[in-house]
Amino acid sequence: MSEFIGQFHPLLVHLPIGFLLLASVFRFLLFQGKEQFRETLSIILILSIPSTVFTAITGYILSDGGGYASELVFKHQWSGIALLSLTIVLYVLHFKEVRTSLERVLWIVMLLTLSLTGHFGGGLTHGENYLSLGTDVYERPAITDVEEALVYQDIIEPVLAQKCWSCHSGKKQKGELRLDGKDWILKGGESGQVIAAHKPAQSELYSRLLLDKQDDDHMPPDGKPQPTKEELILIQWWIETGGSFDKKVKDLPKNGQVSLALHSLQPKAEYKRLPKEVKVKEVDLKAMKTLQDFGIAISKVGAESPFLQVSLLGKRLDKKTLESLASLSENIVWFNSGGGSLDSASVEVIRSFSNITELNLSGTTSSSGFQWINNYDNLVVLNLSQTKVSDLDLSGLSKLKRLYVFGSDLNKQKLIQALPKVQIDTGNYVVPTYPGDTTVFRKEDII
Amino acid sequence: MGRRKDLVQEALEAKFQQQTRRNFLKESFMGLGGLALGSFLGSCSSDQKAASSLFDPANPLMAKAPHFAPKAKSVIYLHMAGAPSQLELFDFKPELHKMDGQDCPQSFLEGKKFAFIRGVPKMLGPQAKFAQYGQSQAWVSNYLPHFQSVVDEVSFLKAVTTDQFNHAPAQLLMQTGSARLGRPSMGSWVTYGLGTENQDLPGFVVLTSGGANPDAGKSIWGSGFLPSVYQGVQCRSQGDPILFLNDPEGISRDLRKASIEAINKVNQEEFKEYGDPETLSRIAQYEMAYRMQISVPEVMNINDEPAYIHEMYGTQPGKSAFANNALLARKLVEKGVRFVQLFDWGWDTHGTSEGGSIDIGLVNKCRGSDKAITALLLDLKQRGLLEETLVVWGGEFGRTPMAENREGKPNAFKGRDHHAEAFTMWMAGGGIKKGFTYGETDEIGYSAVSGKVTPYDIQATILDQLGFNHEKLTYEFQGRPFRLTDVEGNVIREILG
Ligand code: HEC
Repeated sequence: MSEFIGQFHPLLVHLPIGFLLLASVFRFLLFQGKEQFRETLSIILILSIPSTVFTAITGYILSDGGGYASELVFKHQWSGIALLSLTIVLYVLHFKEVRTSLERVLWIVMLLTLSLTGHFGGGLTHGENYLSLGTDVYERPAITDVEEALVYQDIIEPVLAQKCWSCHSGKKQKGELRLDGKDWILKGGESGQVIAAHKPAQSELYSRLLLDKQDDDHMPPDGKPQPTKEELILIQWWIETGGSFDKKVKDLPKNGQVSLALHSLQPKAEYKRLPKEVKVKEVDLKAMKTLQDFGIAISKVGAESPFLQVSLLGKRLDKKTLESLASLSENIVWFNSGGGSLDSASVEVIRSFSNITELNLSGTTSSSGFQWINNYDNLVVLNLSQTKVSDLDLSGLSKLKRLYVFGSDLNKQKLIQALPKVQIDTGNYVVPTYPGDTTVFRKEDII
Repeated sequence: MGRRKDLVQEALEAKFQQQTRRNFLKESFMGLGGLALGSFLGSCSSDQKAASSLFDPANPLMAKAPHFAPKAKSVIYLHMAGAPSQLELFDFKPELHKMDGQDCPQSFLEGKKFAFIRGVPKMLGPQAKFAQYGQSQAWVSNYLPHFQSVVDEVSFLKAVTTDQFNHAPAQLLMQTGSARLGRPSMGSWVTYGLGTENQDLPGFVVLTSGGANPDAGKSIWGSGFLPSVYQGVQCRSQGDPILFLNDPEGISRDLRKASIEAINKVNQEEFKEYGDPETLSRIAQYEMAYRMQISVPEVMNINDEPAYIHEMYGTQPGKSAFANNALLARKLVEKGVRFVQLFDWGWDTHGTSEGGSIDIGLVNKCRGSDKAITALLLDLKQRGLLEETLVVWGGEFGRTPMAENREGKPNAFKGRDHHAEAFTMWMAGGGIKKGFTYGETDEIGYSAVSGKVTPYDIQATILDQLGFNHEKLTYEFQGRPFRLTDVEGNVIREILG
């Protein structure tokens, strides 16, 4: 019942606003000496008092139901009460025919209070920035360390802002739902609450996102930017853990899938492709030539550089070439095996590359396993994609920044937990097939 | 054996025929005079000599060091031949929508020349629907539903401008640095400078799709005045990967080997006599062709890729489809090919036919490439290759904000004319900033208002990411050093990561 009455507030407000503005006009006419309007003003003032009182009551009932930004409600309420008091005072003064300059000032104060109250009220229904015309750009909070990030503010809100606010915020309230603030979200939409704490499946804010795209209830409606796979996982996780608005990532339990999704938010650490300040001997050109003649790509990384890049192209090295490679071990910084298989003799040489920064073993097999990798001081990029390796301790690679494990048998979640600062690409990206990918667009399809 | 002797004999005879008196005079004049001149100039041109010596005739494609440590080691260049409409794909112009159907204001027409527009054309609003995607909030239209998901990998160049508004010269300018025929293409310059990793494969591979070669013909992957070993090798994803590479019927591989050895011997003799480095590179090419007979069919076969990769790219095995070429590009780069150039024909949407319209034909061109390009970026990424492979996408120019009115009459379908003043390209990987947009056009996408870049700037940037100072990668020809960017080009530092 009270909710029903409260609904009328936004409608009723226009009555006292109208009366009070009209009253001011007639007060001005009196000031001009048009005394014939005295009675009219009395009637208008009498009418404005009960309408203001009634509006205030419905307003109070509405705010009691919750769901509005509390600070704004407070301002709106007290300016409303001030307005009511001023109206009564003005009525009394008018009745007593007091026409002093103080009385005129009070009229102006009343007008100011009226517009202020209206403004706060507008802010409540249309969003606080409802007056600013431009598109207020949402500034995404920067995350420096995911573990320290606020789950709602730094992770969930940016998704809502980018994918939902265009229809569910101060600008528009489709389904009578706003998602641009804690109170709004908790208030829900036309069919009630949209979050059931700990129950994502019963929370419309989440369950609607999972519906079939063709479903009328699917959010965001088909054709609008959709949340990514990671974003869906994170919203589910947020609701499952209680839908908190102030907890940090590190405070909440997470499963492997969530860790992976969170990992994708970790900012990418920059790295240098070359080792810093190391003195190495001149490149042994004869050794380089031996390798080149064998069909291996080997060259300096830059004309004046003492460092070398090597691509084995999957070739198996013999004794002579291995010796040449060993004599360049200080110089080699980028090494790519190019697939193929490494025997123990090759591994012995490769593990002696003391300055290596980037090691690519994609698609390579090794008779000595891969644990020997855990031993490079300067390694920043390690590519183990398409390798058959299943368990590996990489904790010794203190400078590692990038790790590629797509198509390997490594346990990705374990890796992410063991190497939280490393950007790990687990690959397996999917590009879905849409109906349009395999059909021809025709004239009839233009809408 | 007997045959080989005959060949040697024949070569010797040819040589004696050339040893005429005139020839002798020419040789000795050039020889002596050249010697003297060389010592005059030697003191001031050591730089250029060093540059020219990048070409080692005996080993023309051996991997070489660039000027400085590179970000990228290979390039995949996706050229959408015919020029895609930036106004339907990336450059969102709501103002143009409001002007739809109105006469084009005179200020846009005065002093301008168009390929087909005559008189006063009507403005044409964007036909696609746009939205912002990714953390970078990049604008992409609904013509590219897949690409939307990878915008955070790329840097958009929204204000590319060129000075050519016909296809052939504009394509030449983009790919060779000159609108006229005869200059080496970008891929040739790159393989000249860097060689290539895999000596069993060409260093510069060209793959075409869309049913036709680009308007500028094969010279946009030609080597110009650079030794011919650096020209692009066109491979096909259907039938024989490289034409004329197979052994003729009845010739075994051993016989082939013997004949190549014989030819090379003749060529070696020839080189000793005349010292023309082109002879040496011919020898190298014969040898490479012989090796390629085995390795090219292997790498060009996409059937051995797993099903989920085919699904990801949306390949059409057995056809010459863009998607197949995109997958091949990844395979080639993985195998150590330096420069892979894809040309996809059919983006020229004037509105003279349904296939050439921006509301029908262009949608289908996008459908034929959107999934594959997205897959290419993601596939390179998951293999750790995107960090070291520079991917470039673009046409040779853009399209007008006005509807085309050929001969002053409106066209049968919705279309746009060629537009040189502003269009969009993008780059990804190879050290380029992720999720970034550089450059801006005016309210209707007519001209650049900030961040204007030219084809030379794009070329300079590509060379920079490969480790070259574009002003120093030169080749001595007709008495002066030439370079890809001629006398222009600034590296677009704003988009470097
Ligand atoms: C293009 C506009 C648009 C966008 C964007 C959009 N919605 Fe909606 N939403 C609607 C419309 C229209 C309705 C009302 C019709 C209905 O109930 O389906 C609605 C209703 C809802 C409701 C039901 C409210 C109620 O109580 O009945 C929920 C929950 C919801 N949206 C969630 C979301 C979420 C979460 C997002 C962002 C991921 C989102 N929407 C993005 C248009 C949008």
